[in-house]
Amino acid sequence: MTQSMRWWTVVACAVTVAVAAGAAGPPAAGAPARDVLRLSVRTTVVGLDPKFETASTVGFINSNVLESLVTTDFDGKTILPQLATEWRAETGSSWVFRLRPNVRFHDGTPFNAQAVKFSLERMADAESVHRGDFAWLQSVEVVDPLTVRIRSKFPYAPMLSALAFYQPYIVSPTAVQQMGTQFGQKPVGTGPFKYESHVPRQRTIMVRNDDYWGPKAKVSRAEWIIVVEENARLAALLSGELDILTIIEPSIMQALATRPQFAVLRGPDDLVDRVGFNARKRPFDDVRVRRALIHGVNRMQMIATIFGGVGVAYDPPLAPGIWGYDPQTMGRLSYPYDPNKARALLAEAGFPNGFRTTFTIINRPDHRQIGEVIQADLKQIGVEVALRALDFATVSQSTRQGEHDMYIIGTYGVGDPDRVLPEFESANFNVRNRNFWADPEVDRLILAQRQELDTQKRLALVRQAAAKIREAAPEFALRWRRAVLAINKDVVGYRVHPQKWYVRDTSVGR
Amino acid sequence: MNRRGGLWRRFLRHRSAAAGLVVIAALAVVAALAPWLAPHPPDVQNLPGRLAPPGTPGHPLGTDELGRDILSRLLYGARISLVIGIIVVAVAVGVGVPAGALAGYNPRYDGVIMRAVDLMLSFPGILLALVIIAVLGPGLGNTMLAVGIFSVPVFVRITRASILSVRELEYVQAARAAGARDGRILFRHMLPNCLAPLLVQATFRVATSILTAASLSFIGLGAQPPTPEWGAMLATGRVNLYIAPHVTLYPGLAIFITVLAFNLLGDGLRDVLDPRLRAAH
Amino acid sequence: MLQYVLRRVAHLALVAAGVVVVTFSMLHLIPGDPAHVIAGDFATQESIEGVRRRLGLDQPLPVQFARYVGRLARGDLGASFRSNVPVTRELGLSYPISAQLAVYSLALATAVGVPLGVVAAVRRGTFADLATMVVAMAGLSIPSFWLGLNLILLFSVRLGWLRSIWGGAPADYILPSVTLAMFSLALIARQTRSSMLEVLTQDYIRTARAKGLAVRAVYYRHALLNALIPVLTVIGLNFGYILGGTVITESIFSMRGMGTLLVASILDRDYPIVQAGILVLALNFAVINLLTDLLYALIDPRIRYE
Repeated sequence: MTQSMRWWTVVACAVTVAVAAGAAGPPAAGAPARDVLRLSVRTTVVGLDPKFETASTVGFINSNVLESLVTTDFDGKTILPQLATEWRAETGSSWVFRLRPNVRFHDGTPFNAQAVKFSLERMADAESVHRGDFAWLQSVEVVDPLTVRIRSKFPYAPMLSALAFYQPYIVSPTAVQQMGTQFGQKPVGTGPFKYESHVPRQRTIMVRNDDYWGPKAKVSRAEWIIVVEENARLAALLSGELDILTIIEPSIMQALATRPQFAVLRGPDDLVDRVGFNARKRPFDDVRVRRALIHGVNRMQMIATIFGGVGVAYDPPLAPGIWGYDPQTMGRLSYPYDPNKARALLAEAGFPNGFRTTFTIINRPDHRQIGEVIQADLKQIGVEVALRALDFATVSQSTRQGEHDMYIIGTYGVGDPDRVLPEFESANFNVRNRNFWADPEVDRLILAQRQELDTQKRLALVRQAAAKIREAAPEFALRWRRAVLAINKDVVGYRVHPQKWYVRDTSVGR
Repeated sequence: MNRRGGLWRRFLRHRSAAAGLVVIAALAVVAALAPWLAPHPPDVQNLPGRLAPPGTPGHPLGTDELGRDILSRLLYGARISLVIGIIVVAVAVGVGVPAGALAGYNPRYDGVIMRAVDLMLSFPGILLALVIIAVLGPGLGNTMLAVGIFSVPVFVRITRASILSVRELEYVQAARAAGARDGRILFRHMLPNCLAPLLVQATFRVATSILTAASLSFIGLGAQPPTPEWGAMLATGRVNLYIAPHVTLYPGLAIFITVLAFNLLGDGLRDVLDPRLRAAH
Repeated sequence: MLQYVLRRVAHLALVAAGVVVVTFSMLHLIPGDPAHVIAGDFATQESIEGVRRRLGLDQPLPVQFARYVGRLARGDLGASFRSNVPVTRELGLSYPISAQLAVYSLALATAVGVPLGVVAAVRRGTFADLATMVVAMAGLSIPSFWLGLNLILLFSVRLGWLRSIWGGAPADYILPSVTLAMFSLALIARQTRSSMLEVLTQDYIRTARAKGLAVRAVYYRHALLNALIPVLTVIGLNFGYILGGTVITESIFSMRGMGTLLVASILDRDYPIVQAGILVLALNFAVINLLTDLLYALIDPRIRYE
């Protein structure tokens, strides 16, 4: 009996070893070929067609393969030429763009005015999810093969900024027609890389475009790998399987602090953490209550602790990365942490004992953490906050319909002020205005700045609107984020851009 | 009385089951006395003192990502996990046992009920819970309901099988011949017969439910912040696993020990109450 | 026997029909409109209406259901709302990953669990029995998400032996398979032990022993083979369970299996993927059950199905 058992034990061990060995196969953590750049992405990428995707990650990845007429510099504000070489305004609502000659799409077809017309009209058509962003677009006219005229329905100051965003990319009309609904699996553009393969929800692989019109990419291949689990990403960076981690948590920064082989890069970010009040609901219809709650949140401590020191608090609407921000007048917070003042304001507004309310957040660890801290802070001034953590689809629909009390907003941190100002217009109730706060004078100022082509005059209008919004405090910002990336120090030449993940000039050293 | 005493002695001799019972009793005491045992309130944050390692003065098990005392949260969490286990099983038993009894007792309903059970079983469990929570909204109550619903089929099957096994027995037939009403026959004569297997299964299910609810909390669908549910604690500590492993270590251990205790107890009960049942589960 | 199989297949079709109806109804009960997800948070009402029209969501529910069933009858599973990718491709990418994971982890669980169960049964009441069963219980009790995270921390971060991100290589299945195997291992070991005990007390084993057959032969040829039959059920059930219930393990190890695909699709309200995916898993479960039952009949001539 004993003997037979020993035999069994041997079998068990042998089988286990065999299974493990059989599964082991090629050596794990194989040294990556140095001509390949591997980046990890934290959010799931399914399709890549700019017409149907709203996720910023998709736009960021696409920026290496697809190009637009103009782009922005690394500050996210300064407009630079890309597929257009020069442009001028004929009138306030008519612009002429001179296109870059001798550019071909990855499928060999020529880039020309026809392609620009096709791509922009495609972004604005009835099926496009960006139709609303192109509501200003009147027409795109082919003047000659290398000249287009873009007309807007009204004088539209932010037009260049709108064209530089990470969505209005120029794509190959031929490829769109040939690929039909599958265009999103392998979009065809003019960029320094072209898509090789894309496995939805897993990885996207691009290879160098050797016929690129500008400086060629340094690496022959870039692989974008979706890894949701933060610890797995960290492990992969440490073992050399990944070269760059986009958007990292403070814990990774801390983990890498003692490892000289790795660095943390920072740059301006398009992301912010804002908290809005539903000003249509009691008690948030009272400005004193709104201000009291802002005074009740210790933003500096949040930044120093849970945000790992990354980011700066500011007064909406203008984040420091947005054109029009004025450090002189906006540098000091209007409603700094002051629980006593908060309690006084609440008492003045008729809530000496506080009140109960809800905070709608997306069911994500970062939102939950923010929610818990704000909940604890507001408890100190007598406001009992219940967290409503829901999935994105429900949050989006529920805030749109104005069912929320407080809610969380994630954009925008850089670029033109008109990216964020629509959130304070009465015309945008139930669409982008989820604070349900508006003011006729602010409506007028926002409309005026949008149509004002004189930079100085526009600046004044933007700042007037901003001052009024700051005073009414329909929302507050926890911070303007910094884009934080972790890299292996073998990676050379990567620069942080708030709206694009350009890897053309990036190489892997040694 | 004599027989019951024998069972009890047999149970106590069952070393692992007795160990399970001791742990559960200890947990129940901890849960009941949490406010007195916990050194701190579970929700009080201290951001500057976040992620303090175990052994920090005042925080024997350290603090979490918001500087809350992990030991205190664990103690309060015991309440939540025990309540989850018990309510889930109550839901499952409350629906499953009557349905199973009906199916076993009256062939007219058997087909419908058992087809419904087949249908429920063919849905992948955690996905079913996820969809139910998506419909009802996240929260501890709905999580318990969802986990309870997908535990129903087990109880339907067990009850039905036990009822079927006694339906044609003499004493039941005798009761029927004596003119007893259906309800009386079912409750007085047949259901007591199912108690042993139900008790065993219920104990195992408490274990499974605590684990499932913790998994759901781990993906953010269970307990809502700042509830100190162990799975939720693990979920928030996860991102700091590398720099502060203690934040996930202790809730993980707590889940493990609690679930293990219920499993050991269930195993022991099965051995003691009905040796033939060993093949089940 | 043939009649039995036919009846079971008919039954299976009934369950499938039930799954189709229930999944469709439940999906539409979930608050949150797919068009909102696709058109994005800032979309205008017009964009949302456009998406709704494109996806046919502007039609009344009965019409939508009829269309869905009509397509299904023609074998057309449709395309993802989110990406236009054909559902067959999405499932075709995910199913093999989950299936392999299930096979590997069950192989591991069986390879370890059966011997453990046999040891425990043969040495019933000894310390070995107790130890084995406590180990099995531990496997049953350990939270898989916790185990998975700690395996990554140990083997990928600290030791650097195994890759932490899934690349499809066989080695990438090791950690997730171990994580998942724990639960099945425990069930298999316990089942093996109890059915071994049952078989060992049966007359024919006693007879065989009395006849002087070598002890080893008694255990292997007679006892184990018969004891394995109920173990098969456990393995079969677990296969279904692993295919559908691995959301957390898959997400921790960045695998795009059925679990992560379906959870993401539920959150995105990507109805075509969820409907097809749940149907596939349900059929999978039913077919495996059927096969296990048939296998029973093959192994054990005493079992006859009318």
